[in-house]
Amino acid sequence: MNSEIKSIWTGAAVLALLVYAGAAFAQPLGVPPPGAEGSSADGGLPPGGPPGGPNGPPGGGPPGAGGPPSADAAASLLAVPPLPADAPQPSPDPHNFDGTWYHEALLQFQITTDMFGNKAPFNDAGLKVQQRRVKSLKTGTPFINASALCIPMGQPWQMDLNMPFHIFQSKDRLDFAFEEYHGLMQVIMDPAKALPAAYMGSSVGHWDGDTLVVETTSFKDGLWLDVDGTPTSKNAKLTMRIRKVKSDHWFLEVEFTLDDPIYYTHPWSWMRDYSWRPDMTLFHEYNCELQTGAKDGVDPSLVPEPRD
Amino acid sequence: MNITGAARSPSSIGWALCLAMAAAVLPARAPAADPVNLEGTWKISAPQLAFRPEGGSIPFTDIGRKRYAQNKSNLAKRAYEEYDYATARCASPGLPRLMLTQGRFRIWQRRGWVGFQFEWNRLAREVDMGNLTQPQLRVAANSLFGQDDVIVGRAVPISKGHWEGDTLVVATEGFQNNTLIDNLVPHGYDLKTTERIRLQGANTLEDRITIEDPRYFTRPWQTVVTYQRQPDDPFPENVCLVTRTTEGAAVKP
Amino acid sequence: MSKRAAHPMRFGWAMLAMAITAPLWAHHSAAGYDLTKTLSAQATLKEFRWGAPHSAAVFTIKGPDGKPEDMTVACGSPAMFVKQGFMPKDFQIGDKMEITWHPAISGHLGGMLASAKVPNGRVFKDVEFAPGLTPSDVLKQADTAK
Repeated sequence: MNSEIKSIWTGAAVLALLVYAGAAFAQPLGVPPPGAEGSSADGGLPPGGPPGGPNGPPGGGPPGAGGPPSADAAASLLAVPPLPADAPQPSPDPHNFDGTWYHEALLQFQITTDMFGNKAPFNDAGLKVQQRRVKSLKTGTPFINASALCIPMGQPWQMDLNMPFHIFQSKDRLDFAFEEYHGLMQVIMDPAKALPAAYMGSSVGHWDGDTLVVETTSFKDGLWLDVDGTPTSKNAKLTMRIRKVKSDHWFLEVEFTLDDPIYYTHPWSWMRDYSWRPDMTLFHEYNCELQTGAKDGVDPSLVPEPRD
Repeated sequence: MNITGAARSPSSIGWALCLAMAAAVLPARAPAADPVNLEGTWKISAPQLAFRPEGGSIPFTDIGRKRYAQNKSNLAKRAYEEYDYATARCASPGLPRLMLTQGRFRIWQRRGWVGFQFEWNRLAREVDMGNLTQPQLRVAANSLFGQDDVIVGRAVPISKGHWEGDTLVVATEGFQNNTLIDNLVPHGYDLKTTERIRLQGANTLEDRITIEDPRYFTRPWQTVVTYQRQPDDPFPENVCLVTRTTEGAAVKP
Repeated sequence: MSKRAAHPMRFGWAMLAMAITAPLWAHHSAAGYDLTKTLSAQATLKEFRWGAPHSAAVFTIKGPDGKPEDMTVACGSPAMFVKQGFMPKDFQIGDKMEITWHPAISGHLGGMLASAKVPNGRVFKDVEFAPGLTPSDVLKQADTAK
């Protein structure tokens, strides 16, 4: 099978799992003591919520995975027409990333190689986790993961799935607001003001010429890099080198570098790009907690991943 | 300033870069055409769980009154799953309830739209100001998602906005029927809201909300909420599913 | 800098991709469900959960011990219901229907809705993950989605 057809097979299979998380945590999510985490003034209360903290239904079981898209959904997700000729263009300023961006390329099911075509440099521990997850798909008992629970699942997954994001840029930071999972990543330009540990990690940025270098550490849990579960540990350091490029269209080019000695023998990198799409500014709603927050909201096809 | 790869002395490159970056990375501002700049970080002046109706009481229909009473009875029993998915499940509180958040929110004004980014559970809302690139693919009427929005609505629909003098007038409809107006007041699919949002002085934001749903209210009614300007600090990650105090947090596998 | 295909070609490859891999896709998309099995039950609708990433429904059925038990199933989108003549807003809590579903391989109660028959005899068929979708089915569905 030539590589082009193979990539189509892969791409389409991937597309089917586009929103189907179908997998579990690298390790069971450490549940922080109630009220200890989160620093919003309302302590996690929804607006108009009851005094003394919300008391949800007991049990609160594992949340559901995303379901696979229908043929119609796949068509509308895949089929991205070219931007209208009269669409506004981004600022020519290479340091201005403000706007709506979208990962147009077919989702990569499993990041098996780095950007140079070398195999992802798993060590024994990493390979064990990765193989366990791939096997879980084959046995029909995929693992629960952050995406399935609808809690933040880290930048690679968040930025791989084919849904748009906004960048709101101000002088102190860049806010990336994602349609999927109503996700949010804030890149802080002053290291002294870095945010605390988070599921999305804590991201600090600086400019290297026209490239924004975003370094993310302090992940609260390991990540799934892709829908197949290529792992990171919570000690991972993720670097994104981002620059704005114009070819036949404007896009952000991102070089992801993962430095995670727990699972890999050395740091390795892969590339993604995100098209400027002002025609994706108005987002679809992603009210996943309506399901994953219910005690019976777990997708029954998912199972907890064994601890290492 | 054009930074090229040509060899220059490191220190002069450093200074040049600093100056260039300071000049180039302008704080994002409201489009010049907007009459008012509402951008900034805001927080409700007086935390409240329920909207206070002008005129003193909510003009319920019989159906509305009955549902309200049921909700109150469930609240007393803490049976949130029966009527309040935002509290029971961390689901979206929807609009206008989201405007009662006790956390902060940030307003971003951009060409063609206004965005609200909430601290609580990282939710957002969008106001379409009418001259965005078309079609908007994620919500286009003939897209799968766009169809679904029309068929069953959304907790937080896309609003339509325009300026009237110094006031941002925001109209919202197309709601799902599984959220609440606030912590108790019911509504259905036919809910429509109109918000008149404006500055009062430099540091107070006012949102005057008109609520209309003929099935639940005999006539439209109004309420006002105000917010105080906050420093533009980032929001530490807020994940309701993890922070909520429930007998069994959802994340236990 | 990455190489970019021209937009029309990218569109074309995407459609071709779906056509070639429809059967593979139908299988992969339901990794955790047994599409070869279909269970059935008399059910009472408890809740529809419309929305992302996919919609779901909660039914109360009679459990193995005869007691009522709630079961969650993934289901089609509101648009899919409308295409078959069912208006999502018309469903009411308490509606009775005969449902069939593809069970979870994990053994947990629940799965993926296959069909729902309402009292007047009309049947909703959840065709998103139907096994044996042919490429032309996929293309036809994709065409009507445009």
